[in-house]
Amino acid sequence: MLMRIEAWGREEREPVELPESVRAETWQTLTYLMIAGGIMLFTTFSASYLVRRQSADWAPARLPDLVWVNLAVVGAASVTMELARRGGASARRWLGSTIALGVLFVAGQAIAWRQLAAQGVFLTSSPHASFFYMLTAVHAAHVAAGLAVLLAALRRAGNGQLGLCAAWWHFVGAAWAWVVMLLTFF
Amino acid sequence: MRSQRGAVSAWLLSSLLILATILTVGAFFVLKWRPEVASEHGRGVDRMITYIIFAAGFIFVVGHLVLSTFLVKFGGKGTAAYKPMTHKTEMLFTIGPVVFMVAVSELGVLAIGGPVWNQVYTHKPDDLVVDITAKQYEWISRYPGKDGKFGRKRPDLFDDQENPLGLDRKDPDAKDDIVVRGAVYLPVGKGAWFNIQSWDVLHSFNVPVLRAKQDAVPGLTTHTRIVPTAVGRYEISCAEICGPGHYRMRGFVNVKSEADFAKWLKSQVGWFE
Amino acid sequence: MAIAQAVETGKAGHQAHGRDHGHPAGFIRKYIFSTDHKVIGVQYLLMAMLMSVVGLGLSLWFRVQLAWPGKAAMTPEQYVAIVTMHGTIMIFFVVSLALSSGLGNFSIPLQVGARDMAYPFLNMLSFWIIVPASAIMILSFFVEGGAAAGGWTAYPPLSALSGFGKVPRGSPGSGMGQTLWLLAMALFIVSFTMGGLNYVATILNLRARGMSLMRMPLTVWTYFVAALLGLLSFPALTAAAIMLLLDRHLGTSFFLPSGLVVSGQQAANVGGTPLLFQHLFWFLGHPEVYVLVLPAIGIAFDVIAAFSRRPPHGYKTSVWALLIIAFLGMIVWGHHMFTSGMNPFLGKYFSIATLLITAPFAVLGVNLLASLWRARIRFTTSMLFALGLISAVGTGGIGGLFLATATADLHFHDTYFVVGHFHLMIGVVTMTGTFAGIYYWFPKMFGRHMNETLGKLHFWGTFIGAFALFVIQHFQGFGGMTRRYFEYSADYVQPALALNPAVTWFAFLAVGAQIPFFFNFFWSMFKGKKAEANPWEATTLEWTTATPVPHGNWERLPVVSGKPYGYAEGANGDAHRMQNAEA
Repeated sequence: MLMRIEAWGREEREPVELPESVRAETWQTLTYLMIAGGIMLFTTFSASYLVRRQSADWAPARLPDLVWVNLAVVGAASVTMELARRGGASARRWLGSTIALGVLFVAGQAIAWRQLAAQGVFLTSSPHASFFYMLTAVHAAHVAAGLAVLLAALRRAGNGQLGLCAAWWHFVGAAWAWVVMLLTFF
Repeated sequence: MRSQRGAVSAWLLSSLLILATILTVGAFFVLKWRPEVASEHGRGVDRMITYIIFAAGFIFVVGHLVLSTFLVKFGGKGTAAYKPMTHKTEMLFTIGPVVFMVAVSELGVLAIGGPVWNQVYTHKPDDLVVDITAKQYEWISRYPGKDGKFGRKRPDLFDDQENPLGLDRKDPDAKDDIVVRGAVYLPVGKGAWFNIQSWDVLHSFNVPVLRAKQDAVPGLTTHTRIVPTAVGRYEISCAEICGPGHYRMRGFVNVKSEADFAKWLKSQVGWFE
Repeated sequence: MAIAQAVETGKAGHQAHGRDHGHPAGFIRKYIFSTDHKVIGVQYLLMAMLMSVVGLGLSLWFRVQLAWPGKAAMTPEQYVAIVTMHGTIMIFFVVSLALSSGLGNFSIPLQVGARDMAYPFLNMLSFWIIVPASAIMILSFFVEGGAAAGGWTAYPPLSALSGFGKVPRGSPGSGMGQTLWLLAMALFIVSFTMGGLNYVATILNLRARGMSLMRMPLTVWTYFVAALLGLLSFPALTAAAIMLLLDRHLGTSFFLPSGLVVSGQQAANVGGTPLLFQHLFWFLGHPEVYVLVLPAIGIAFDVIAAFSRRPPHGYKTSVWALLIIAFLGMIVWGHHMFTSGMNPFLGKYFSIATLLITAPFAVLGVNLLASLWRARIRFTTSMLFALGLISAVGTGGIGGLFLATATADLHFHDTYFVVGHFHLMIGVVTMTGTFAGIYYWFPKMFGRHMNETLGKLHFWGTFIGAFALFVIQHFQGFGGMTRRYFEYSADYVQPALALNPAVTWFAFLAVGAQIPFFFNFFWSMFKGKKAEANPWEATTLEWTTATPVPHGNWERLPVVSGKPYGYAEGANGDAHRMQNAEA
């Protein structure tokens, strides 16, 4: 078998490089597919929420006011991301502020958890609380993925196309807005 | 050389497919392939199944005949020559199967299946109401007793030996409830409406001879309706995996004549009497 | 030691290229942690073969128990665990790996004219995530309580009653075994999702010049549709698995309802809904069937075209049928739940919607059959498997009519009819498609042919064994024989029960027929008849490059000039035209 496979790996050891334009297209496909998958994930959770809330034990807890501040932070991050995407001399600085706001958002979410826990509301206290903790955690994972990508973009001098980073970042922001609406009004 | 070997494969595969078709169709005549049926809607279920057997059988037989013919006709000898189909023929071969399949299958489910399905899920006012509770690995049935009311089931009062339904001694409705372990009793020819519940995991109240199957879901009451048409003793076999003892989760539905059923009911004493 | 020896062999065989690269580091980079899609494809195939030994071995073990109760040295606890693991391993670690991941990886870049996958490193990662996933799945047999035993569907409450913390224990297999099962499945989902991303990006963006969407081979189309379906439906299972894990370990009540009493112990849970899990599971589970079945059909189209020397009938209608199947496949999951306690009205909807799928499937079936019309069939092993697939699609497909009709499903749900039906579809259809693909592409993979005599032996054994085995199971289902039973005692089931030994004998035949295949596969790698670049005179792009395929697939990328199936060309209709032939 090794004799057979031998020839495949011959000569070039480096992965085959794609032309820049094609690479840009594959990143686009990848990003939009991941956003589609993410939308399906949050849709599934939302559907589960709407089903679960019909049970007799449903009792929505008041979320800490901090979640609204965090929503504002994530909204501001979307604005700075948009400014960074527009390019220009200050793009790098805007990207930096986006990352800072992103970190601030995650920290804010952690504080919201602690506030809620201080009130004696834990993961198992009520189904509403279960959803709050679970959805914030799942969402934070998406934010973390976004932050990792933004950091990579920042290292690459930030002059490249930030369109796809922005698309993911807006998706993450919109997802949080949706989660807060769901947990507050439904 | 190649063509000859090809011809062998062609004949071999095509006769095998014909043989498989004959054996499959023949099995319906040779085997006792379905249990007898002893319920009103069960006859409807069987009617539905028979309809599909003919529809599906037609596709099965024709499909395999065509495949076998093509194999022999176009296999091995290499004489046939492909010509593209006209657009019109091609459309015919697309629209034809689509219309056929949709018509045959939807007609069956709407005309034959639908009414039977409704029958199974419609509670009639003078139905005998039976309460079924499942637990690992047992079926427990309950009748409301003289007052016609079921007592509440309380998880905290559950006791496997003394009180498998968790009935409350102080609940007046529960006092005369009749509890039967491992069996259900039904009068023949009368509708029975089942409330099905489970204590622990999913089970399925499955009585093949009555063509009845309904999952028992914890936290939910599911329903099914049966009108038995023949006196007899029919086995309940759990049909949703519920643990290692799944296979021994049995029970019996005893269908009695109306007089015998009344006599049986009279002989029963309430759980707390 | 074995590796060192292998390196030596590789070196000797490679002298012709005049390069010395038998260095271990190079070896590891090339054959173990390779980013080449062809190597990864073969790695997936080998992994699937390894796991199939486990999965098929388990099935024979419980088939013995079923045919001759008590002769298999097995307890009821082991039985449910073995049935669960057989299902999980075969679906996710054999069929998915061999067909979706293995052949998909090998064929997609070659058929669309790309140098590799869009993300080769991600591709390698996908494969290497499968290795711990498989290991965890198998190791779960050896933890306290044994492997997961709630069926491959892992319905709560049984799968949620873990015995951890305040949660009562539902069954022995609901403990650590179920947790490891979920962990292995999580890794599988990650790998499969990354693979799907790669497939779609490759197919959309890396096609060779001139390869418009409607010039793609049907194999590529089916992989494309399957990847999209997978990407949109797997998140539902991900969400369900997260909630199930929280219920199991942290005491939440997503799926665990109020008032649970498990073996006398009262649970503290309140208000969960077990049915929710079933909805989420089948929202993935049903599309997953098409994720597996469609590529097998796609491969069959390619193979049949090559060996019947004419283009497949109705390329365009097949593509449309695929897209319609994908769409309908996402909105019919409830037909797995007719007796689950779901609203009966919903049951009717799901029944009517599901039966609509028969229409596009009939189009695919007719197109497959019509592709043989006025053909010049060459009966290679690959072609035999593709022909077997036509029969299996028909036979398995009509079984779907019974199960999709809610009223009939009252009798068939959770009987051997279901078992026979889904084995025909995601067992026989998928594997005949996979084998057709393996025999077809083997010369391209290894530069050698597989032995045809052993191949025929493999085909006849597999086809006769599997067809008989699963058709008989349909009849057992007619007889009302319930599935996942360790033993049977009911009166009504006796006629069906009498068929059990026959089923087991045919299972031995079908599994035994894989022995010549395994032997053939490894023997032919070294000793098989040498193959030219295009031994089948097929016209799609993978046959335009040298064999063995060089790294990067082509010296110069092909430029596509026409349809994928340039058969029956020329004045006599016996010529063929490669897809990159100059106009």
